[in-house]
Amino acid sequence: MVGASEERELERLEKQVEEGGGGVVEYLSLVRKLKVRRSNIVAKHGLQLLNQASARSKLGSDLWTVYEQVAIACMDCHALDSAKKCINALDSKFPDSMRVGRLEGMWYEAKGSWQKAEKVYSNLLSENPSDTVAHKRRIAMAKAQGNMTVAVEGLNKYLETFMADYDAWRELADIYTSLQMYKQAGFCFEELILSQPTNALYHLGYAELLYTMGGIDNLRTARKYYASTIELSGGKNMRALYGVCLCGAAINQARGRGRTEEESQELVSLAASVLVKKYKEKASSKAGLVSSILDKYKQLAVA
Amino acid sequence: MVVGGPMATYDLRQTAYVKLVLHALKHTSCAVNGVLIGRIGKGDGESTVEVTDCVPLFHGQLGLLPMLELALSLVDEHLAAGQDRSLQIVGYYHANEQFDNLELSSIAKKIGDQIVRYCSQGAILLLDNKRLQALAKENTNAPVVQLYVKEGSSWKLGGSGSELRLKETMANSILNDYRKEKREVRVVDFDEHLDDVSKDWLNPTLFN
Repeated sequence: MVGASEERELERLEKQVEEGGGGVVEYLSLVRKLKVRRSNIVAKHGLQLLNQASARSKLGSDLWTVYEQVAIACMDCHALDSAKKCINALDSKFPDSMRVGRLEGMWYEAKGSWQKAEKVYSNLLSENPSDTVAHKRRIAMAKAQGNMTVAVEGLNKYLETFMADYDAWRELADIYTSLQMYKQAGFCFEELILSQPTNALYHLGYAELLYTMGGIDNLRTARKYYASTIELSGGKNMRALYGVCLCGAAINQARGRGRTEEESQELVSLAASVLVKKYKEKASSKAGLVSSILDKYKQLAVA
Repeated sequence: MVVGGPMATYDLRQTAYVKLVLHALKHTSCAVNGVLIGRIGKGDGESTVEVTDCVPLFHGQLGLLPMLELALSLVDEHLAAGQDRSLQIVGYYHANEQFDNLELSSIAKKIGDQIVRYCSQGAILLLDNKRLQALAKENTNAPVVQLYVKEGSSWKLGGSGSELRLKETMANSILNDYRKEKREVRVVDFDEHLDDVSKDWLNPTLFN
């Protein structure tokens, strides 16, 4: 996840690079640091950079990291010939490298030659069974081919061994959610929250899932996790603020008439006022609309 | 008497069409979705649904409920408070994550069902990536989306007797031009709005 200021810096550099104002090396470095996917721009400017001998020598030892980054970006844009050139350069420098081997596997994946890719990864894994990237590439292949059950099985097996891989838990939660297997997705989030209790995004993900599952118990728990998201994110997370209002209304509707929960009123009012303030500051054209919707939620929370 | 579902002509206006395709082009590695806005007209015994615009909603995880409910409420409220009271939500669009996946997912059907409760002729438009790819090489007048219509309890491709057409013949040319200049970068969806409320999901300057 990228913070707001980092996003701005990235956009600034991207604009500069696209307008021919230089800064390609800094841009590529920032993209690597933030782990964002900007393949079109990385491929275009990265290749231009790598084609200049003077630029290559200036990169020093970073040259090979850039070759790898550009190779992957090219594969993402389906520029397979350019990707192959980068991989060949890496292969000459690092023969028999596991890291380069993975790129070769990815190249076959990009081509759609699934069996050749599978062969590459099995070979890599037989030599090095703890190569987590190769494991995950196989799972990614299953997902790319639409074999969600195979992907889920693969991820579960992977997590039995590599249970501290939070990204994998997050991916599994995502796949379960898209398959509408919400309970299983919930289990993944529980694992994530247990291991990283201060990560607001995990609390948020869990809340959204619980709300989706519905039923008064889940809605009450969802509200708790929306509230903890608000706390952990310093009140800045819009989804959590809205979420609290949605929960207030939904819980009351699920309860039936005549019984109001005091806590939900106060929480909903507080969240609503923060939201309206934010809109008045940043998006005043929408402030009226949002105010009006929030009033409806407030009414539903007490009706 | 019409049996088994309404037959309608769906006139897809350039604004709606180009915006939804650009939304998909912006997020090539994810599934995307959004709602279609327009009006229902009646004439000569069959109805016409004019899809005038769309609101891009989400990219990536489409299966979660809270923000979807919120977005639908906001769009509804926006239309109800707007100057043109004939406008309403008339459908849903969806683009799958994988390139060659033309299956209408159960999430898409569920959202479609929800929309049909309020608009009986509500339709689903599903992006056909192969057609979109082919369009870059050779211009045609055919839309790069498939139409799904609710008949009875299921969503039927094409629907019996329903027709989807691009209202403006230049729509695909315009789309191609926008692709060349990477206009899709400017599309804002509801997800992005939630991350930064200063970004407007109405996309008022997208086609300037």
